[in-house]
Amino acid sequence: MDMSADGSRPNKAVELIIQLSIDRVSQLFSKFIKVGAKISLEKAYVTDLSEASARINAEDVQSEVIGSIVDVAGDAPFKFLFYAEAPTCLILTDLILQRKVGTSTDFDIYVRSAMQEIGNILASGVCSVFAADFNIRIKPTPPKVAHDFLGTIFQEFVMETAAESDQVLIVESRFHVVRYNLRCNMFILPSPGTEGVINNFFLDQI
Amino acid sequence: MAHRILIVDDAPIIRLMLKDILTANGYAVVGEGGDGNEGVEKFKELSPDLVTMDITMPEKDGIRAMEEILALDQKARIIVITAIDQRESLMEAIRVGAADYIIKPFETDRVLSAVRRAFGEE
Repeated sequence: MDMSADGSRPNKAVELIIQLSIDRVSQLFSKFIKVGAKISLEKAYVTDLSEASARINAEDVQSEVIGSIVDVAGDAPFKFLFYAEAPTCLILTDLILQRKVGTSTDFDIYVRSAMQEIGNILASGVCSVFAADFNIRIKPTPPKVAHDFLGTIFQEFVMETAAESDQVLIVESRFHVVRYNLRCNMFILPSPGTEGVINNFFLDQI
Repeated sequence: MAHRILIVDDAPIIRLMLKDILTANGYAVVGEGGDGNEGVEKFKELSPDLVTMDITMPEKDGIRAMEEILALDQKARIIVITAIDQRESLMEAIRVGAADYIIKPFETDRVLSAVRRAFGEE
Protein backbone atom coordinates (compact mmCIF):
# COMPACT_ATOMS: atom_id res chain seq x y z
CA MET A 1 0.00 0.00 0.00
CA ASP A 2 1.40 3.34 -0.97
CA MET A 3 -0.13 6.33 0.69
CA SER A 4 2.18 8.86 -0.83
CA ALA A 5 3.38 7.87 -4.25
CA ASP A 6 2.79 11.32 -5.63
CA GLY A 7 2.14 14.53 -3.78
CA SER A 8 1.92 14.61 0.01
CA ARG A 9 0.62 11.94 2.35
CA PRO A 10 -2.87 12.21 3.91
CA ASN A 11 -3.16 12.24 7.70
CA LYS A 12 -3.66 9.14 9.89
CA ALA A 13 -7.44 9.52 10.24
CA VAL A 14 -7.90 9.68 6.51
CA GLU A 15 -5.52 6.77 5.95
CA LEU A 16 -7.61 4.64 8.31
CA ILE A 17 -10.91 5.40 6.65
CA ILE A 18 -9.35 4.74 3.26
CA GLN A 19 -8.15 1.29 4.31
CA LEU A 20 -11.51 0.39 5.90
CA SER A 21 -13.26 1.49 2.72
CA ILE A 22 -10.99 -0.59 0.50
CA ASP A 23 -11.59 -3.68 2.66
CA ARG A 24 -15.36 -3.22 2.46
CA VAL A 25 -15.32 -2.62 -1.28
CA SER A 26 -13.20 -5.72 -1.78
CA GLN A 27 -15.79 -7.92 -0.05
CA LEU A 28 -18.70 -6.39 -1.97
CA PHE A 29 -17.01 -6.63 -5.35
CA SER A 30 -16.09 -10.31 -4.90
CA LYS A 31 -19.63 -11.10 -3.78
CA PHE A 32 -21.22 -9.28 -6.73
CA ILE A 33 -19.08 -10.81 -9.46
CA LYS A 34 -19.04 -14.20 -7.67
CA VAL A 35 -15.32 -14.58 -8.24
CA GLY A 36 -12.45 -13.84 -5.88
CA ALA A 37 -11.05 -10.38 -6.36
CA LYS A 38 -8.14 -8.70 -4.69
CA ILE A 39 -8.27 -4.97 -4.36
CA SER A 40 -5.13 -3.11 -3.60
CA LEU A 41 -4.72 0.48 -2.67
CA GLU A 42 -2.28 1.85 -5.19
CA LYS A 43 -1.97 5.41 -4.04
CA ALA A 44 -3.58 7.91 -1.73
CA TYR A 45 -2.17 11.34 -2.13
CA VAL A 46 -2.87 15.00 -1.88
CA THR A 47 -2.10 16.60 -5.18
CA ASP A 48 -2.83 19.34 -7.60
CA LEU A 49 -5.78 18.37 -9.79
CA SER A 50 -4.14 19.49 -12.99
CA GLU A 51 -1.17 17.24 -12.19
CA ALA A 52 -3.48 14.28 -11.50
CA SER A 53 -5.30 14.84 -14.79
CA ALA A 54 -2.03 15.13 -16.66
CA ARG A 55 -0.80 11.85 -15.17
CA ILE A 56 -4.02 10.00 -16.11
CA ASN A 57 -3.83 11.41 -19.60
CA ALA A 58 -0.22 10.36 -19.97
CA GLU A 59 -0.94 6.82 -18.74
CA ASP A 60 -4.07 5.76 -20.55
CA VAL A 61 -5.50 8.52 -22.65
CA GLN A 62 -6.31 6.27 -25.59
CA SER A 63 -8.02 3.58 -23.50
CA GLU A 64 -11.72 3.26 -24.15
CA VAL A 65 -13.39 2.61 -20.80
CA ILE A 66 -16.83 2.42 -19.24
CA GLY A 67 -17.01 4.35 -16.00
CA SER A 68 -19.58 4.81 -13.30
CA ILE A 69 -19.49 8.14 -11.48
CA VAL A 70 -21.37 8.51 -8.20
CA ASP A 71 -21.88 11.76 -6.32
CA VAL A 72 -22.18 11.06 -2.62
CA ALA A 73 -24.09 13.66 -0.66
CA GLY A 74 -24.25 14.31 3.08
CA ASP A 75 -22.01 15.34 5.97
CA ALA A 76 -18.81 14.27 4.21
CA PRO A 77 -19.47 14.38 0.46
CA PHE A 78 -17.19 12.78 -2.07
CA LYS A 79 -17.15 11.67 -5.69
CA PHE A 80 -16.59 8.06 -6.63
CA LEU A 81 -15.41 6.65 -9.96
CA PHE A 82 -15.17 3.01 -10.95
CA TYR A 83 -13.99 2.15 -14.43
CA ALA A 84 -12.65 -0.68 -16.51
CA GLU A 85 -11.45 -1.01 -20.06
CA ALA A 86 -14.27 -1.86 -22.44
CA PRO A 87 -13.39 -5.58 -23.01
CA THR A 88 -13.13 -6.08 -19.23
CA CYS A 89 -16.68 -4.72 -18.82
CA LEU A 90 -18.01 -7.48 -21.07
CA ILE A 91 -16.37 -10.13 -18.86
CA LEU A 92 -17.63 -8.49 -15.66
CA THR A 93 -21.17 -8.55 -17.07
CA ASP A 94 -20.92 -12.29 -17.81
CA LEU A 95 -19.55 -12.97 -14.33
CA ILE A 96 -22.37 -11.02 -12.65
CA LEU A 97 -25.00 -12.80 -14.72
CA GLN A 98 -23.21 -16.14 -14.16
CA ARG A 99 -22.98 -16.74 -17.90
CA LYS A 100 -20.13 -18.30 -19.81
CA VAL A 101 -17.41 -15.68 -20.23
CA GLY A 102 -17.54 -14.54 -23.85
CA THR A 103 -21.35 -14.46 -24.02
CA SER A 104 -21.47 -10.65 -23.91
CA THR A 105 -20.07 -9.23 -27.14
CA ASP A 106 -21.89 -5.90 -27.52
CA PHE A 107 -21.93 -2.88 -25.26
CA ASP A 108 -25.65 -3.21 -24.62
CA ILE A 109 -27.78 -1.96 -21.75
CA TYR A 110 -26.72 -4.85 -19.53
CA VAL A 111 -23.02 -4.04 -19.86
CA ARG A 112 -23.62 -0.37 -19.05
CA SER A 113 -25.95 -1.43 -16.28
CA ALA A 114 -23.37 -3.83 -14.84
CA MET A 115 -20.93 -0.95 -14.53
CA GLN A 116 -23.68 1.31 -13.15
CA GLU A 117 -24.51 -1.24 -10.47
CA ILE A 118 -20.89 -1.95 -9.54
CA GLY A 119 -20.48 1.80 -9.00
CA ASN A 120 -23.67 1.92 -6.95
CA ILE A 121 -22.76 -1.06 -4.76
CA LEU A 122 -19.15 -0.02 -4.16
CA ALA A 123 -19.97 3.65 -3.48
CA SER A 124 -22.71 2.52 -1.08
CA GLY A 125 -20.14 0.30 0.66
CA VAL A 126 -17.82 3.25 1.19
CA CYS A 127 -20.80 5.25 2.50
CA SER A 128 -21.52 2.46 5.00
CA VAL A 129 -17.97 2.68 6.35
CA PHE A 130 -18.31 6.44 6.81
CA ALA A 131 -21.77 6.10 8.37
CA ALA A 132 -21.04 3.21 10.72
CA ASP A 133 -17.54 4.03 11.87
CA PHE A 134 -17.61 7.79 11.80
CA ASN A 135 -21.22 8.56 12.68
CA ILE A 136 -21.69 10.53 9.48
CA ARG A 137 -24.90 10.88 7.45
CA ILE A 138 -24.11 10.14 3.84
CA LYS A 139 -25.95 8.73 0.81
CA PRO A 140 -25.08 7.94 -2.81
CA THR A 141 -27.04 9.47 -5.69
CA PRO A 142 -27.84 7.37 -8.79
CA PRO A 143 -24.65 6.62 -10.77
CA LYS A 144 -23.91 8.23 -14.12
CA VAL A 145 -22.42 5.85 -16.68
CA ALA A 146 -20.10 7.01 -19.45
CA HIS A 147 -18.45 5.06 -22.27
CA ASP A 148 -15.55 7.15 -23.52
CA PHE A 149 -11.80 7.63 -23.40
CA LEU A 150 -10.41 7.53 -19.89
CA GLY A 151 -9.06 11.06 -20.10
CA THR A 152 -12.52 12.41 -20.95
CA ILE A 153 -14.22 10.50 -18.13
CA PHE A 154 -11.58 11.58 -15.61
CA GLN A 155 -12.06 15.21 -16.63
CA GLU A 156 -15.79 14.89 -15.96
CA PHE A 157 -15.04 13.22 -12.64
CA VAL A 158 -12.81 16.01 -11.34
CA MET A 159 -14.49 18.97 -13.03
CA GLU A 160 -16.71 20.22 -10.17
CA THR A 161 -14.05 19.69 -7.54
CA ALA A 162 -11.49 21.53 -9.64
CA ALA A 163 -13.71 24.61 -9.57
CA GLU A 164 -13.68 24.61 -5.76
CA SER A 165 -10.16 23.56 -4.87
CA ASP A 166 -6.75 23.08 -6.48
CA GLN A 167 -5.36 20.67 -3.89
CA VAL A 168 -7.32 17.44 -3.56
CA LEU A 169 -6.98 14.05 -1.93
CA ILE A 170 -7.12 11.25 -4.49
CA VAL A 171 -7.51 7.60 -3.50
CA GLU A 172 -6.61 5.24 -6.31
CA SER A 173 -7.20 1.48 -6.17
CA ARG A 174 -6.75 -1.35 -8.58
CA PHE A 175 -8.85 -4.51 -8.68
CA HIS A 176 -7.36 -7.80 -9.72
CA VAL A 177 -9.93 -10.48 -10.51
CA VAL A 178 -8.65 -13.98 -9.87
CA ARG A 179 -8.55 -16.31 -12.92
CA TYR A 180 -9.35 -13.65 -15.47
CA ASN A 181 -6.47 -11.20 -15.08
CA LEU A 182 -8.88 -8.28 -15.17
CA ARG A 183 -7.89 -4.83 -14.10
CA CYS A 184 -10.35 -2.22 -12.90
CA ASN A 185 -9.76 1.04 -11.09
CA MET A 186 -11.50 3.07 -8.46
CA PHE A 187 -11.00 6.68 -7.44
CA ILE A 188 -12.43 8.45 -4.42
CA LEU A 189 -12.30 12.21 -4.51
CA PRO A 190 -13.43 13.81 -1.25
CA SER A 191 -15.05 17.23 -1.62
CA PRO A 192 -13.24 20.17 -0.03
CA GLY A 193 -14.12 20.04 3.68
CA THR A 194 -14.65 16.29 3.93
CA GLU A 195 -11.15 15.70 5.30
CA GLY A 196 -11.92 18.23 8.03
CA VAL A 197 -15.12 16.37 9.00
CA ILE A 198 -13.15 13.12 9.43
CA ASN A 199 -10.40 14.82 11.41
CA ASN A 200 -12.92 16.50 13.72
CA PHE A 201 -14.55 13.16 14.42
CA PHE A 202 -11.20 11.68 15.43
CA LEU A 203 -10.35 14.66 17.61
CA ASP A 204 -13.71 14.31 19.39
CA GLN A 205 -12.93 10.66 20.16
CA ILE A 206 -9.47 11.27 21.60
CA MET B 1 -51.90 -19.34 -9.85
CA ALA B 2 -48.43 -17.86 -9.45
CA HIS B 3 -47.95 -14.80 -7.27
CA ARG B 4 -47.55 -11.67 -9.42
CA ILE B 5 -44.48 -9.51 -8.77
CA LEU B 6 -43.42 -6.04 -9.93
CA ILE B 7 -39.67 -5.23 -9.95
CA VAL B 8 -38.62 -1.58 -9.55
CA ASP B 9 -34.91 -0.83 -9.99
CA ASP B 10 -33.04 1.65 -12.20
CA ALA B 11 -30.45 -1.00 -13.16
CA PRO B 12 -31.64 -3.33 -15.97
CA ILE B 13 -29.07 -5.94 -14.90
CA ILE B 14 -30.58 -6.13 -11.41
CA ARG B 15 -34.09 -6.40 -12.87
CA LEU B 16 -32.86 -9.25 -15.08
CA MET B 17 -31.19 -11.05 -12.13
CA LEU B 18 -34.31 -10.74 -9.97
CA LYS B 19 -36.58 -11.81 -12.82
CA ASP B 20 -34.45 -14.93 -13.42
CA ILE B 21 -34.53 -15.86 -9.72
CA LEU B 22 -38.25 -15.28 -9.33
CA THR B 23 -39.47 -16.92 -12.53
CA ALA B 24 -37.23 -19.96 -11.97
CA ASN B 25 -38.97 -20.42 -8.64
CA GLY B 26 -42.56 -20.23 -9.80
CA TYR B 27 -43.34 -16.53 -9.45
CA ALA B 28 -44.70 -14.39 -12.28
CA VAL B 29 -42.89 -11.12 -12.92
CA VAL B 30 -45.71 -9.02 -14.37
CA GLY B 31 -43.88 -5.74 -14.80
CA GLU B 32 -40.72 -3.70 -14.32
CA GLY B 33 -40.10 -0.07 -13.45
CA GLY B 34 -36.87 1.91 -13.92
CA ASP B 35 -37.54 4.63 -11.35
CA GLY B 36 -39.97 5.50 -8.57
CA ASN B 37 -42.48 7.20 -10.86
CA GLU B 38 -42.65 4.19 -13.15
CA GLY B 39 -42.94 1.95 -10.11
CA VAL B 40 -46.03 3.78 -8.84
CA GLU B 41 -47.63 3.87 -12.30
CA LYS B 42 -47.01 0.16 -12.88
CA PHE B 43 -48.42 -0.62 -9.44
CA LYS B 44 -51.66 1.23 -10.33
CA GLU B 45 -51.84 -0.50 -13.70
CA LEU B 46 -50.94 -4.05 -12.64
CA SER B 47 -51.98 -4.39 -8.96
CA PRO B 48 -49.17 -6.88 -8.26
CA ASP B 49 -49.14 -9.14 -5.20
CA LEU B 50 -45.65 -7.93 -4.26
CA VAL B 51 -43.18 -5.19 -5.25
CA THR B 52 -39.38 -5.31 -5.01
CA MET B 53 -38.16 -1.73 -4.65
CA ASP B 54 -34.69 -0.20 -5.00
CA ILE B 55 -34.02 2.96 -2.97
CA THR B 56 -31.42 4.95 -4.94
CA MET B 57 -33.13 5.79 -8.23
CA PRO B 58 -33.45 8.88 -10.43
CA GLU B 59 -36.62 10.99 -10.56
CA LYS B 60 -38.28 9.56 -7.48
CA ASP B 61 -36.43 7.38 -4.96
CA GLY B 62 -37.76 4.09 -3.63
CA ILE B 63 -38.81 5.46 -0.24
CA ARG B 64 -41.08 8.10 -1.80
CA ALA B 65 -42.45 5.56 -4.29
CA MET B 66 -43.16 3.16 -1.44
CA GLU B 67 -45.05 5.88 0.46
CA GLU B 68 -47.21 6.54 -2.60
CA ILE B 69 -47.91 2.86 -3.20
CA LEU B 70 -48.88 2.32 0.44
CA ALA B 71 -51.13 5.38 0.26
CA LEU B 72 -52.93 3.68 -2.65
CA ASP B 73 -53.04 0.29 -0.93
CA GLN B 74 -51.99 0.02 2.69
CA LYS B 75 -51.79 -3.77 2.40
CA ALA B 76 -49.26 -3.63 -0.47
CA ARG B 77 -46.33 -6.00 0.10
CA ILE B 78 -43.03 -4.25 -0.64
CA ILE B 79 -39.51 -5.65 -0.23
CA VAL B 80 -36.70 -3.10 -0.41
CA ILE B 81 -33.61 -4.32 -2.30
CA THR B 82 -30.83 -1.75 -2.06
CA ALA B 83 -27.07 -1.29 -1.90
CA ILE B 84 -27.43 1.09 1.05
CA ASP B 85 -26.28 -0.86 4.09
CA GLN B 86 -27.01 1.75 6.75
CA ARG B 87 -29.17 1.39 9.84
CA GLU B 88 -30.83 4.74 9.23
CA SER B 89 -32.03 3.75 5.75
CA LEU B 90 -33.21 0.37 6.96
CA MET B 91 -35.20 1.98 9.79
CA GLU B 92 -36.74 4.51 7.40
CA ALA B 93 -37.81 1.76 4.99
CA ILE B 94 -39.34 -0.31 7.76
CA ARG B 95 -41.05 2.75 9.27
CA VAL B 96 -42.60 3.61 5.88
CA GLY B 97 -43.89 0.05 5.58
CA ALA B 98 -41.38 -2.27 3.90
CA ALA B 99 -41.97 -5.96 4.63
CA ASP B 100 -38.24 -6.71 4.38
CA TYR B 101 -34.89 -5.15 3.47
CA ILE B 102 -32.30 -6.93 1.32
CA ILE B 103 -28.78 -5.61 0.79
CA LYS B 104 -27.14 -5.79 -2.65
CA PRO B 105 -25.26 -7.77 -3.77
CA PHE B 106 -27.87 -10.37 -2.86
CA GLU B 107 -27.87 -14.16 -2.75
CA THR B 108 -30.68 -16.11 -4.44
CA ASP B 109 -31.67 -17.76 -1.15
CA ARG B 110 -32.01 -14.43 0.62
CA VAL B 111 -34.35 -13.09 -2.08
CA LEU B 112 -36.49 -16.22 -2.09
CA SER B 113 -36.66 -16.35 1.69
CA ALA B 114 -37.89 -12.72 1.85
CA VAL B 115 -40.47 -13.29 -0.89
CA ARG B 116 -41.77 -16.49 0.68
CA ARG B 117 -42.03 -14.83 4.07
CA ALA B 118 -43.93 -11.90 2.57
CA PHE B 119 -46.45 -14.38 1.17
CA GLY B 120 -46.60 -16.35 4.45
CA GLU B 121 -45.01 -19.35 2.76
CA GLU B 122 -42.21 -19.76 5.34
